[in-house]
Amino acid sequence: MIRQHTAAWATAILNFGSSLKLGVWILGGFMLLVFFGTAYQVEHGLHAALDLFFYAWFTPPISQWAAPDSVSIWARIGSWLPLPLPGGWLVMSALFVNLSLNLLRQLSKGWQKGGIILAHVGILLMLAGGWITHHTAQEGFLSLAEGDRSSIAISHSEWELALWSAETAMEKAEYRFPVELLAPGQIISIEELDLILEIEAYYPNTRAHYGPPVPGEPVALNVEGITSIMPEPQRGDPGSYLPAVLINARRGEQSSQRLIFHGSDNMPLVLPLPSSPWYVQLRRRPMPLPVTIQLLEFRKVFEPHTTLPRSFSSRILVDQDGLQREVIVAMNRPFRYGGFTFFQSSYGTAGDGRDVSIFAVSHNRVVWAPYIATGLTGLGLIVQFLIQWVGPGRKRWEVDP
Amino acid sequence: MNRSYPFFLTLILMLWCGPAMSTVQTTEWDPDGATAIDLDTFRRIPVLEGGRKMPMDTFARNRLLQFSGRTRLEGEAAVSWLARVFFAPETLQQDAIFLIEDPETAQALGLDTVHRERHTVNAILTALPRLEEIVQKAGTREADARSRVENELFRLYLNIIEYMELINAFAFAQPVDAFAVDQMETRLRLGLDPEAEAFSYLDIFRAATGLRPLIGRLANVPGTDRTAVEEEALRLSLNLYEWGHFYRDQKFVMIPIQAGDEERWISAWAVLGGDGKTRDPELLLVLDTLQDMTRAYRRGDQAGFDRAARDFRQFVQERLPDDRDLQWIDLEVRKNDLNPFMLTRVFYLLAFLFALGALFALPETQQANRVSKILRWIAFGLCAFALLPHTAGLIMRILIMDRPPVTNLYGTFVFVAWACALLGLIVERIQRNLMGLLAGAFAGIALLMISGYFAADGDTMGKVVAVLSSNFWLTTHVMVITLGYAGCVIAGLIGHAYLIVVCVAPGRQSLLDSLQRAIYGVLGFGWIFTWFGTMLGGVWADQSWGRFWGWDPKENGALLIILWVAILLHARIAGMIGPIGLAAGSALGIIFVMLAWLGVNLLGVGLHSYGFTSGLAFGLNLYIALQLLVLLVLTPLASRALKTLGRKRGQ
Repeated sequence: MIRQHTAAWATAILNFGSSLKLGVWILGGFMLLVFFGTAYQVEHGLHAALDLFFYAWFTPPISQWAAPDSVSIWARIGSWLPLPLPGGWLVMSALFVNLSLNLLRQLSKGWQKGGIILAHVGILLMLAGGWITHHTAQEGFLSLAEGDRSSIAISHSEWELALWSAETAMEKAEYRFPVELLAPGQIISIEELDLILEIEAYYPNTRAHYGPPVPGEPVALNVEGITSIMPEPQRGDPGSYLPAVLINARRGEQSSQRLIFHGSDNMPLVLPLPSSPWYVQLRRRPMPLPVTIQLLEFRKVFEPHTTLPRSFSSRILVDQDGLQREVIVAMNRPFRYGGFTFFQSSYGTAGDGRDVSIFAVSHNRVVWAPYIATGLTGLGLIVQFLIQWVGPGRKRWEVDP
Repeated sequence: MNRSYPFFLTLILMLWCGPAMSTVQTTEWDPDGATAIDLDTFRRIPVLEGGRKMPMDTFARNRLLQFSGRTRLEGEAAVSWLARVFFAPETLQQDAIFLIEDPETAQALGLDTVHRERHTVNAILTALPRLEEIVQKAGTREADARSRVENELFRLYLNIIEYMELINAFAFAQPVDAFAVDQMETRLRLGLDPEAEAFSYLDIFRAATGLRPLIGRLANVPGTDRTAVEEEALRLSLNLYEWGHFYRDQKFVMIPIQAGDEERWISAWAVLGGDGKTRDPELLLVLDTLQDMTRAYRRGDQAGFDRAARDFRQFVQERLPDDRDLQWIDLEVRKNDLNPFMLTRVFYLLAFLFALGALFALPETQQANRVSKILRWIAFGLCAFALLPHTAGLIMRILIMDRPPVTNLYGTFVFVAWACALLGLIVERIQRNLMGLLAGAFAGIALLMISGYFAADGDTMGKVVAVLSSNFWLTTHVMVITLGYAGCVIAGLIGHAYLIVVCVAPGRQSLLDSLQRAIYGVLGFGWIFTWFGTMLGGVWADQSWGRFWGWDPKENGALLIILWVAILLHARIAGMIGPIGLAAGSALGIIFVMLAWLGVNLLGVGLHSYGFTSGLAFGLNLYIALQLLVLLVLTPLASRALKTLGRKRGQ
């Protein structure tokens, strides 16, 4: 009896979860999310919309959608509906579950639903690929002047506090602490150096103050002469944020020294340890590459008598353990290797006048997912279209005689 | 507009009040002969604008359109107007050329008007001090902090600057009083033609070496002791310097040069003020050709004018022998003459009217039915015929640009109009109930009319930025997604037709069923293509920027269409909506298409944010409001009509 009851419940839940009607409601919710998330970008920019709408389980309450200094319709709507809406993760997860369950039901209906099954598998792959990409992909950049070479790209928005000795290349620091670990009160003890770092504060985005110390604030040491830092809101491209960490450092029984590490520091702070000097810097996280890239030549061509670029391209030498080959990277023509993709992103000029080519670098293990998903879904739609409109049992759409 | 603008303005005013105002001498001027000159050779001369080589004819149309909102000036062809600008600037004062859209803007300049109006050069010249004052004040603020009137004044001011640039382009070749040489001795010592009535900057420039000995001793001689010849030589020297200094940064370029491996184009003034690279004897010779052209025009000498224009064109072609763009100059002139999209509009309109006529003649009698059939065939023929110039226009755009015809908003509207008309014809061929014809022809007219709005922005075949410079992706992503737009638009129009038929003739079940099938089929077509196009856009983004999807407004716009059509199709299958719901939903879908197509560009954010215009925003809002109103009226009426019919059948 209980088993029957349970089975009935399970069937009911399965039926509900896989129902087309639920799917329609989810799609409706998705549409609202996309609409409002797009409208939100007008006042707050893309990155805020990504964080609060598309990469969130719930959106902020509607009353908070308006910019603080504007009288918006959102403030009025929010006053009588002070609720958040489902965010991108929730909507897309619900769609994933609904589609998966529906797919199981479609499987039993034979070849006539073949197209729909293929299309739905493609969409599931697209959703899953998007989720994996968001959580695992790394993005960075590689900036090379003509003649320079490097096997390290720099993360776009991920930072770390790194300590390295004079004998070590700075990219291969002995101690690296992702900024996510730098919580206030956290104590980092490095026994090898008899060094204790106590995190006083960490700010993801700040502005540096170089003038006289702020009255009342303890004196702090910074390699660039920054005397205090002012937190800034996290708005816009996270790649433009300049984080800062305040640390009280001490060795053995010595008194502690208040240190400021800021994202704009151009050089590391030198710790004069007895054995050899050590260096400390808050820096963008290095992304080791599987190959060494050397920029041989950068070319930029403009349409005549305009500043309209016709093309940018970089001739690079790719060196993998001594095996070298030349590659051209240009707009719409990336170079891929070992899960890494190099895109021609921008350009500049080095201090000595050499052309500098800037490559966007991404590392994505499921870069193939949207391609296969697109193919599957497209194939599915075409197959279903043919089954429905051309194949046996097709629907007629001409006028009845 | 940056904050340094006021300094720029001052320079412009100096330009306006300086050499440009020097009077063109009326010698060698035959107004009747000049206006009778045939400009066919002249309009085929290639010039560079926005990085693109185009015929003078296109340049003239674009400029006149930019200034006046039209491609003709009171019946005068644009190229004829441009010839006067170049060769006879003294004839321009009464040209009503400067369009001011907003009467409030004109009133701010003290111009007495209550309408959208084109103002004469004279009137604008009178209002220039006031205009400059306002623009200087407004120039200290960012563009989005300025009022509508201030922005309109800025637009006007920039147009005046460009207009002045054009007037000055051939000033070196015109006989002007600044270079009049009255003393016979001066003429002889400079090697000038003793019989000539007037001289140009170029004439004196060539004789400039003779000026030096004439003015050599003047530094130590008081003014009262100077001879008439010395005074004249001094005046000529100063004017030469002043003119050369003022005009050396001329923007109108028509002379190609090679600087290293880079192709550069310069103005005639840059040749005269040469920086070493441009001081090329051949280039100086070509200025003579341009002066010959100017003089021949002013004398009304057709043979001399044609010869000079031909020589100049040949000079450009010899300088760029392998240039692809130059091969299509004549085709572009032909396209301008044919004006295929205007012709197409006329045929679509006729097709639509004949189809309407066929619809009204349809049900009554056998004879009416026959009339209806004839009208339908005429409408079908007209619509199919309209596709010929439409297709020809698209092919010409492809050949001239060497790109798919969808590189800008103008191009997408022209292409989608074509796709809609074709889809309408296909639906009509299958269903033969006039609805495909009505929808296709209506979409053709409406979308081509909207494209005309974007044509006013300037060159419709401009160069694309580097990231868009991929024919493969333009073809696959943009063309595919715009085909999707076409499908959704036609489905939406048939949706309107369905609702109207339900309201006026709910008993015509077979027609309604066929319309419902048409909506379903065309919507499916639109959905598949929109989906494919969007995904291909993701692939392109992944190739260009390293990310498949970034929730950019343009991507989101396309996603809205996909989601909306998915909702409609799934809701129909799930029984959540009926035929009226599908029809109304399809009609509503046009709003999402327009939002994706235009609306997201108006948001001013994201990677696809281009072509921002406030007029467009107003038009889009108006359309959405009207569309919603129509659906709010039609849908309940249609629903009630079906219920009433059901009750009657039940009785």
